[in-house]
Amino acid sequence: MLSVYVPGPLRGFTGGTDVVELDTAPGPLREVLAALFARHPGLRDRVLTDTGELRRHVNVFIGPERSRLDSPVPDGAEISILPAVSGGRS
Amino acid sequence: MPQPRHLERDRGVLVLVGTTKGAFLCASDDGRTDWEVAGPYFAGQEVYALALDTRGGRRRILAGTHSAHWGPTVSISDDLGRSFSHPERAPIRFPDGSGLSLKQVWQIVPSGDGDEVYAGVEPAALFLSRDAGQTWSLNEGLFTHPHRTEWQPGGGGLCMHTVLPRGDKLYVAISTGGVYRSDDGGQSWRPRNVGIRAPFLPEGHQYPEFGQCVHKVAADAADPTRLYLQHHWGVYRSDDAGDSWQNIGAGLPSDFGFACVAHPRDAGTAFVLPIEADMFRAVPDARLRVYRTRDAGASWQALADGLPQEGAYECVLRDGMAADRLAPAGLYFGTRSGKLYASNDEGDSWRQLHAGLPPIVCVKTGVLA
Repeated sequence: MLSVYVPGPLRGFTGGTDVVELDTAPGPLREVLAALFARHPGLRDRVLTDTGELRRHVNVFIGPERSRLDSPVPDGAEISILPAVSGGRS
Repeated sequence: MPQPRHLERDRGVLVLVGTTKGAFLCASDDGRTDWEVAGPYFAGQEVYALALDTRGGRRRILAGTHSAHWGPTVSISDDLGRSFSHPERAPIRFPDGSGLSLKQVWQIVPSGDGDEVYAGVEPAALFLSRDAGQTWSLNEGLFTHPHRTEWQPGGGGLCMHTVLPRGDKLYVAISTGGVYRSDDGGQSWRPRNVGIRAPFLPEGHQYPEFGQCVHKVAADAADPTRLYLQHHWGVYRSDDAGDSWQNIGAGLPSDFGFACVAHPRDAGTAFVLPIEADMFRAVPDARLRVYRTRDAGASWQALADGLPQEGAYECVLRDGMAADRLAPAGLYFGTRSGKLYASNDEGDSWRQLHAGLPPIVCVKTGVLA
């Protein structure tokens, strides 16, 4: 079992849920996110670009570690999707 | 996030203002003296493209938005901004395998009397919706054009910023690619840049087939073959549907600029807003002036009544000026410093509608019946 924290601006696509539990086998982050997007399709285009890369100003953490799409996700991991501080407009 | 204030008025003139931190709606009656300002919609997001579609009894606002975090999308409102759509999948997407991701929607243009809407995007490409903006498909004719991979980004990115349906012809303009025209409904495209000088290229190579840094193109309302064009240096006119261009910039304090707008009815009448130089993007002499021609560019008249004429280091971007279709025509522009101005007499006099909006990147108008 894995859990994914969804930030406030994206909860319109999860029916308001802030933590999504996934009964998904451990594997690369890319595959875990694919399972998340299968459950909540509206998250996909907000987190990834059309070509499937993480958006520039979106960070995904596995536990405390900022991760890449090929980072391994262990069983029981707590994953967090967070907006990066670099993304705001001034 | 701030909750938007909504419009109370639901008839009359609507001015849609896109900024780098959201969109605003301004409404007035036909007299255009008392204005109501609503917003911000999409607070914190760039809104480079807005359109009002009133065809077939619609009152649809289309917005091309871009969140620095969550990416670009197109949203629709049929209730003057009280609610906007949040489609799960981004409605404008490049095909799988193209290797391209949508960066920004730069232009949304309803076309014809039915449900067709065009969108010009970055990286430069044209999309068409046949259901009034809900679903979109890529224009393959332009996407597979051999020039596409040779286009180079200008300062704003590799954007398609102008889409002009005009009778049986369809024009687009790209920075930097230049003007392209289709005579067969978008199936095939030809560059239409003869006579446009690209001063940023070496001597002897300044009139290429394509690669010009066109900033904006407008179509004369009365003459179906006449166009006006603001280039990265140079204001031009075409009398043959873009087959050739002639410089009409003499008489302007600078022929650099971004915005270019045609009068909604009168032949030969257009407006530009000169900027001093590409190396100093502020209005000449720090005087904020719109320039109007009523003779297709043979002469220009400065329009400054009501605009600051001292210390105004302002810049107006390519989509930052628009005209309504009332009589006399209303004219509107917004600056990079967030000042919004309006004229209800074709530019003869001006009033400030707002002094403190975020940087303005898009101004569009429409009339609500």
